[in-house]
Amino acid sequence: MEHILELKNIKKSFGGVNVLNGIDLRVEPGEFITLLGSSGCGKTTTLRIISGLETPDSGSVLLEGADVTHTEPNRRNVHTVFQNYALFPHMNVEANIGYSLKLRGMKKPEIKSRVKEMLELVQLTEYGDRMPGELSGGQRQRVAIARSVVDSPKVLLLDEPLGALDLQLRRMMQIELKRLQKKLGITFIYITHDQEEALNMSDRIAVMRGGLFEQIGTPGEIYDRPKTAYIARFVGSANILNIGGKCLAVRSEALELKKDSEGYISGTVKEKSFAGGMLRIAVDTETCGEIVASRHGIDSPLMPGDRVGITWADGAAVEVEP
Amino acid sequence: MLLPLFIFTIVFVLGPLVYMVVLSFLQRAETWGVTNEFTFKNYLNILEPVYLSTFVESFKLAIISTVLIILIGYPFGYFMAKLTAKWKKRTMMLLMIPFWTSSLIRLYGWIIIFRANGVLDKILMALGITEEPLKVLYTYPAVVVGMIYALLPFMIFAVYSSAEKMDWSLVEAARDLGASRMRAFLTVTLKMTLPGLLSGIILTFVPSMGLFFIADILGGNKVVLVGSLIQDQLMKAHNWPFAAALAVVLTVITSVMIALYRKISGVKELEGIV
Repeated sequence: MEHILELKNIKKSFGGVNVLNGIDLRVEPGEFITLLGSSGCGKTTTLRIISGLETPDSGSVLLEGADVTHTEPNRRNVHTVFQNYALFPHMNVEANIGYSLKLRGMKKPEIKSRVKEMLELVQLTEYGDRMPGELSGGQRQRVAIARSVVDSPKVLLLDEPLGALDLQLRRMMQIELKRLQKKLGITFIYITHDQEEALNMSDRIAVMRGGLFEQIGTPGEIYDRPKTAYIARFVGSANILNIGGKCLAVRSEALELKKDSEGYISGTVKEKSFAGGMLRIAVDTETCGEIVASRHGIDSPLMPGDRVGITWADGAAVEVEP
Repeated sequence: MLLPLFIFTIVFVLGPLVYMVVLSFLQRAETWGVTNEFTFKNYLNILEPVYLSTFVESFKLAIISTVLIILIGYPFGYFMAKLTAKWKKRTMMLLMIPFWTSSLIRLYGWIIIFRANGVLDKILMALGITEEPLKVLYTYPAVVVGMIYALLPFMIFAVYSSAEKMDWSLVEAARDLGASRMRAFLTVTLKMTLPGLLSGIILTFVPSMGLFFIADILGGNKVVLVGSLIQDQLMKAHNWPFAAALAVVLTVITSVMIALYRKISGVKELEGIV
């Protein structure tokens, strides 16, 4: 099976600071793969190297098997949806979307009909002659996507495309993007620091940290079998417990608290808080620091200061690398 | 609050302008001053070949100077906008320093450079590039260099202030969408910096029509511009009405250019002159 995109041992540093420390990635055609990580982990640099806006210090980028490491960005069949959308402010929506077609020397009527199709696809039929400055954030977002997929690139790179939108619009756009990707069959490489977004949308997630991929896997694998303590914390908001020389990740909802009992570990209730339909109980433990248990419901009989024993069901604890 | 501004504008801008226009329709007196007789003669006079050719010459020099200033100033302003903040400040400083000295004195500096066996000739001969002194002073090229020297900073500042505001991710977007460096420059960068470039053109073209002292000092009597003509008519020939008519025509030409600029760029303020 040929990979549509392959990164081989990519390294990159800026002014003596290592940003990428040798990353490898293989992407299947039509895949939706998310690079997940907090800011500064190197995910944007990875994207810029794939698009050609940046050249790696070493390693190679293969597109459909061909080495494009040093190919100019305009000669790669890859487009980017930029974080700030980067719509051309001096062109109307139609001209923005038709830009790449015009560069390819396509005839005007043909461009017009392609652009019209795109406007329908992103549900902006009425907005062709508007200027980008006259659009809302969500509309600009859709224009940016339409502009990047109009000439059917092999791979679409999306750099936190929903970052500037409010929560409700984000949810809607997540669904819309996923639908669009299925329909167009274009490979998506998607950047986000939002683990929920990554889990919702991706076929596979590559968790990045310190310029390396810490784990690459399906959302289920990443969520249920995190490889490291960092991923368990970052993706699953799990508690990391050091017990008997082992590092265990247990998600907060799997923790059972029993008053005045021993359990696997024990501690003192520190505080209770209610957020997002969940009650969160913070417990100071002697051996593992502060841990958080959560459950559905508004309140629990436990009070701050209570001694509790903490247990969990078999299989709820996953051993991870520290 | 606006009243003082109105009064100031009327007294110092509108007043002289109206006076100039009125003057341009009057007759020259036999001895000194003007008589209150209405006439178009002054304007018809401009159509005389000798005066008309002065306008054409001025236009030609202004166009040559402006084109050269664009070729030097645009890249300068463009790359200046890409410097780090520290180097931007330093470059800006270097560009400002000459303005602390009278432009007349700086022009005399060019005389020292350009005159026969001056600095330029000595350098060229020492390097073995020329055998004989070039004697650049009092030639057309000397005037062009003087124009460029005097007006280049305005172009640089205008382009710089436009390029400074430029969102460079737009160029990346263009490249990403398939534009070569050249196409990205033409379709994005140039369009985005057009207001600066146009105001730079206005700021260099308009003054270069009138900077008579550059032509006088570096060109001797060989290059006569509209500015020099006005000055001569006013100070030497004492023909005030004709000088006024020449000035009105020059004002109209420049006003038309500024109106054109506004129309093309859609910008109401000239960029680069804060």
